[in-house]
Amino acid sequence: MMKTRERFLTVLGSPLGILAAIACAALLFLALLAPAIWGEAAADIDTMQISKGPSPEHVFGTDGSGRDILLRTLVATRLSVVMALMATGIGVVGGVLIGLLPLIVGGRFGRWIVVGINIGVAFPGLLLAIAFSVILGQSGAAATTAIALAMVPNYGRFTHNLAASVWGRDFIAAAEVLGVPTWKTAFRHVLPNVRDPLLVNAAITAGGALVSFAGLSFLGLGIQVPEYDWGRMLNEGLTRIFVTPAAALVPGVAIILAGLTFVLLGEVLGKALTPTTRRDVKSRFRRHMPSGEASGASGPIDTDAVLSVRNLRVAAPGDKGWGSLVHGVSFDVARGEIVGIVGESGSGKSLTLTSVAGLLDSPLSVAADSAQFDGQPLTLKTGTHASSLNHHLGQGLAMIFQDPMSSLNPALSVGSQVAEPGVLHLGMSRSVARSAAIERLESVRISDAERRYGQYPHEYSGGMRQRAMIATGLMGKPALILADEPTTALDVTVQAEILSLLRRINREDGTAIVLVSHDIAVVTSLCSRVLVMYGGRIVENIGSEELKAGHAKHPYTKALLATVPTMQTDRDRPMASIPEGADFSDTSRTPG
Amino acid sequence: MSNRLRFESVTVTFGHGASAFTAVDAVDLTLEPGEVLGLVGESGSGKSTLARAAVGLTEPSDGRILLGDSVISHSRGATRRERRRVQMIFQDPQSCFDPRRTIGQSLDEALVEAARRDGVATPSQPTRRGEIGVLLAAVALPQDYADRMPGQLSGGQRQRVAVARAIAARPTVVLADEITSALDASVQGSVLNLLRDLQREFGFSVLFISHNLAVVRLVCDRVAVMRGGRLVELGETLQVLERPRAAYTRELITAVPSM
Repeated sequence: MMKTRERFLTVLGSPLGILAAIACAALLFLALLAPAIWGEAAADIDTMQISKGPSPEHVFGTDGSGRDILLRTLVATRLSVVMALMATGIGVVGGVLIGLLPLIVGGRFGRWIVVGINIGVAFPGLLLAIAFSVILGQSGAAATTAIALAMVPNYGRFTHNLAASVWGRDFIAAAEVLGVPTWKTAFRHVLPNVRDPLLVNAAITAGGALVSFAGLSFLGLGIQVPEYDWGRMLNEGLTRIFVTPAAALVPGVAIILAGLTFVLLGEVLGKALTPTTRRDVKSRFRRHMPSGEASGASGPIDTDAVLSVRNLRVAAPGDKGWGSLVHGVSFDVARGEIVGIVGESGSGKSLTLTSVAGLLDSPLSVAADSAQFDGQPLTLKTGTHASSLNHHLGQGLAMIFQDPMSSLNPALSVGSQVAEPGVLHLGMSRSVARSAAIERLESVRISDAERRYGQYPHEYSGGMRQRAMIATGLMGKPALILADEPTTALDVTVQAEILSLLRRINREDGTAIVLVSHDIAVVTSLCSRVLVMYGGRIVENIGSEELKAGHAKHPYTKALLATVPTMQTDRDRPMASIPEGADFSDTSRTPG
Repeated sequence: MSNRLRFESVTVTFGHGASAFTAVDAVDLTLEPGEVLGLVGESGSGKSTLARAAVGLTEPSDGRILLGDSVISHSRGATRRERRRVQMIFQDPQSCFDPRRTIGQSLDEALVEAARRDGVATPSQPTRRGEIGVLLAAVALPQDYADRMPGQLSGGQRQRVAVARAIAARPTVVLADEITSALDASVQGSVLNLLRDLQREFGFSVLFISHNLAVVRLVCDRVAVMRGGRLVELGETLQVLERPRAAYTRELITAVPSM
């Protein structure tokens, strides 16, 4: 992940950045210095040269009072830009304050403020600006205020949405519990965390303000004579546009260019402030992955096994080349066997499972020496998973994910999602798939399956959603179920039911299961064999009974077992833990 | 006496009319000074809501909460300051710290607010810096961590800083809401040992909310079991876990996968 400064410099080096830098520099130069350099010349009235076309003396010709159009345009930059920036400044400050106010005030009054903001947003900005301008009078100051006021509702709503998303986070609650006054929390904790999108939006809004300003002046509502900005020039030049088009076109083009400059600035800020996923050119040339050191099972592929993997590697591109996440893992799953993969965060257990299912995409890279599923060779390589597993998906292979909230599409009925594999992979008709799905829902003990078929995921509890997921996988008769932390997000009583369901499926249908979990107790209660992963390698491959009897060989396994509290752990001693920074990677690995 | 946290028939309801949802239903519970009380339940039991009511993140719809003799529910002014003697440690180490402020700044905020609450003059910057150093040492973290951002610390380290922040506010009661649920089992022990040691040293009481019965057994003196917003069992830890009276407690105990 690049830091903001690095990103900023990278973006500045890109064509977009260079263009933005040049444009900003030009605008800045003109705004600061143009009146000093050309101010007098621009005000020069030459009655001999009224409304003349381009000539050597006047590059774009003269206007109705004989003044040079180009020079006037250049000099007008300051007023146009300064007023736009002032309006933006006032509008942004006002918007931020009004956006934060509902959160600070809270309760019913806060909700009414939000309603007020939403009503304000409903009016088109320019219309509001014109209305305010008419009320406030015809002057530059009035126009600035009008545009600022018109900006407040939109910016306010934007700020409020961003702030509201931060407001629900624990550190805000922590500040409240400490006793920090709400307004202080809003400015100290919320504002800095929403700063980036606000900045980007402000830059783009400034561009809009510039155009609005020009519009107001064009309508005669903004800058009045003898001062002039681009809008005023447009107003004066439009009457004779077919005679001396330059009088209106030149300021018009200036408005566009200046507006674009602000937008470009916004783009550059946006790119610099948004963390991006690494997708640079370098990684494309680094196809050569680390070769990996095999851990786990040894020897050639086991052709009787339902799943057999040799030297599976997963790597992610980093600042210094590929970083290995899974260092060459090999294992077999026999038909009808339940195998558990246990490990902590960073062990690579979930990556191993998802790469077998073919679900890993770039920038992660997957490779394996060989793999086999259900008698067919399996190519585990990033980008090729689609074709090699198509044959298996929905039929021989099923997968259950951790989060029952997000694994079902909330917009579709549960039943249609359970029936989907039947229609897509098993060639069933809609009605046949429907009855098969209802049967599956019944088999996973979802009561009243016919009625539940038509319900939506939010009407199911977490445990029921996991059962529905399992039912979906059971539509074809799978030889293997891959379960990635299927009960971690569930209550302990619901977990017990799901585990017993999996046990029953294994017993009755002979389906093999690979269960990934951080909870060693869960794994040993369901699985007959356990693979312990640490730092991307399999460090232990042991039967459940042996593990429970205390015959683990690897030091990490022993240390891990010691930290798991049971109902028999000694209460008088401090709890065991593995000190942070302890490294078990050096110790010898036990072969499979 | 002034350190006893009492929930008197506390009810918390969300929503109105037909869509009203009762998260906590007439719960009577007392946390004695210096004790570690476990609060166990599954999702929807109301245990987190009860804790949030104690610190003022939500208000009881009925009943009241007392700290010593002061009623801290629906508090204003002086009693609101009293309420700040009840501090909370949150579950998610990812979001419990402002990602844009250093660890030192987050701890500093706690010190400043504690001084404000107690009505004493805010200690000077150097004093506070020293205090932050003491706090970090108390949670077994190096001094230079004060200048680090939360993102640079591991989950276990962040929870330890969360413990430090809670004790920086010199609490009478600490509510630990599932503080190790998001951590690996291997670091869970160090955080909980730390909490236990600090509790013995400073004498604050702890309401330890967890769904993990095995951990509760190791850490707590007494255990309360909640279900559907109601308190179903309360008693000495070993009593409740070895000879439970409520059927639901038995159900919970049998559901725990054992090795």
